[in-house]
Amino acid sequence: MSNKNQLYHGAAFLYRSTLPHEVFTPEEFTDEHHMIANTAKNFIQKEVHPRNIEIEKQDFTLVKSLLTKAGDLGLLAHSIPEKYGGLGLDKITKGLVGECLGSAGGYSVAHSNHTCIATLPITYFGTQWQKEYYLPKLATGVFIGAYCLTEPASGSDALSAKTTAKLNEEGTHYILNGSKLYITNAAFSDTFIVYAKVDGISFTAFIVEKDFPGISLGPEERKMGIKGSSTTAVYFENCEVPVRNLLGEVGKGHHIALNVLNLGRFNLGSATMGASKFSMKLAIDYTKERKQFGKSIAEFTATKEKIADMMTRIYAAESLQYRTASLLENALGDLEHSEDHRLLDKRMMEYAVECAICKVYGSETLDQVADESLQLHGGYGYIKDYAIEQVYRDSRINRIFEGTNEINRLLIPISLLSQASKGMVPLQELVKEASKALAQPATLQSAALSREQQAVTLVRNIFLLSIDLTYQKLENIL
Amino acid sequence: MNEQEALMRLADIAIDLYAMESAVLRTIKAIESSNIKSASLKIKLTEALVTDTLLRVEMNARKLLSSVASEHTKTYILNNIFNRCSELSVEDTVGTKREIAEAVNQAEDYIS
Repeated sequence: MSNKNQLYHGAAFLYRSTLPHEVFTPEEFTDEHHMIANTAKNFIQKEVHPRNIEIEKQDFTLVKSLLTKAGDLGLLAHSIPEKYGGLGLDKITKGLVGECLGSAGGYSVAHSNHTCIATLPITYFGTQWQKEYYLPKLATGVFIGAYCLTEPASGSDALSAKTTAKLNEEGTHYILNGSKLYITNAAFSDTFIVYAKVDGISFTAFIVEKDFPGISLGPEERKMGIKGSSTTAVYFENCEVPVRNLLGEVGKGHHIALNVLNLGRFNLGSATMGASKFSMKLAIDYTKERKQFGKSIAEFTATKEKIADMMTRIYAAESLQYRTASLLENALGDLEHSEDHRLLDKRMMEYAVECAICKVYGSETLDQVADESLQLHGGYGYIKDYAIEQVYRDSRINRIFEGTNEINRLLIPISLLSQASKGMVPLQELVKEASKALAQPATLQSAALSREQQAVTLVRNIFLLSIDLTYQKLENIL
Repeated sequence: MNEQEALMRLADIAIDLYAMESAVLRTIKAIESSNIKSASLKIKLTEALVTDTLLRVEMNARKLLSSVASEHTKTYILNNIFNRCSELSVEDTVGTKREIAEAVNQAEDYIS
């Protein structure tokens, strides 16, 4: 296996170039990909969008029934192996479903939270019993899941959690005490992936069911947006969790938490890119219809510039999203049934930098597109009768949850510096080359996109030189 | 974690690198697998993206290097970066962007 591991080079784009045939692009979607995407699109258009007013009023019975309907269509099952009642589809499909759900506001958050961070811990790290018992229910929507990491005093610093777990004297149950904050889907969830410190020290994951004695929910938070997803605090007061519900190993909970967040960040990139397309469509429709000074405002060149800026960002977001999907598929596709947690851990973390970029680029694309789409609506955009008003409010959370964009940004250069310090990347040689190249004038050629290809190399060289100088300064301080 | 400001700027450049490279590779792949004409919108999108991105990268690099580079190398490095970016950012994107918007308006949706 060790040879195969060397095939994967997370963050390698930072220091070496890639050839076009090495990336996957949306032009290569298969018929199966298109089929699932159409199922997801139809479901959103026919079942979710028409019920938006009730969803926004937080009719969670409706939201839960929509999730069950999605389950009937297989839209909760893409990332669960066939053996456990799922469809066992690739990460490109996962991305496509995420993108198609993007236009569905709070419903989309509820759905993705369930299929991603609430289910994947069991898919990848569950025991045989846990997989057999929970996955078929999560795949069909019989059970809906939540993920409990954040606490009142631990947000970005997640591993400083205060919730504790203690094995009882009989050795039959772990007793959990503590509180978790901002838990998505809490009001209608059957399972909660909960992180707690065994004996106050060892960070560990558990699967807690809603009917276990000692678990209770706080009131619904009054959020700015994504109202269709429930968000409450979850309290554990001597909550009794059977030992068979320990997830992974004692003291290894952080592996599960961080690995799963990686895929969550990838998924958020898909969802925000899909939401960006939806938002831009609202702007196009409005500007074509709205007339001022005797013509549709879509014809004004200032409008055209805004639309083109949205298009350009979305094209880049889409390109990087499916490129990353394929990298993840190559790293994880054959590990569906692996029991080797160390290998899983390594492969899931391999593309942490790429997943962080999916999250940051997608969420900031959506913020920019939602903001400009609303602006193009003028005063109407500020009125709730227009869909763009909700898109704008729903957008804001994406820069915050699943690791703030600031935490995700810090992770990017630190990852490369840590690879370099382990001798995995010959940073000094690369910097020397980059420095030399930066002193040489460009030689422009006439081939299509020759300038753009050179620009990519130039930016890479600027990055390498910059990280070297930053590193030197950090060393001087330390 | 010292120098978070510098790490943020490094991240900004890294993110822009991944985004622009992904778009460039996708468009070249599209040209190679069909032809230039059918990839014409992708080419325009890529040209506009790269021009805008290059300006942002230059700004971020200047901000970053003015704080981390030592006095005697700063001018030399910044001059090199300015010259290299200028050579490649000559594209006038006003016309390109109008054409992109016209294609989108005609399709009434995202297309590429």
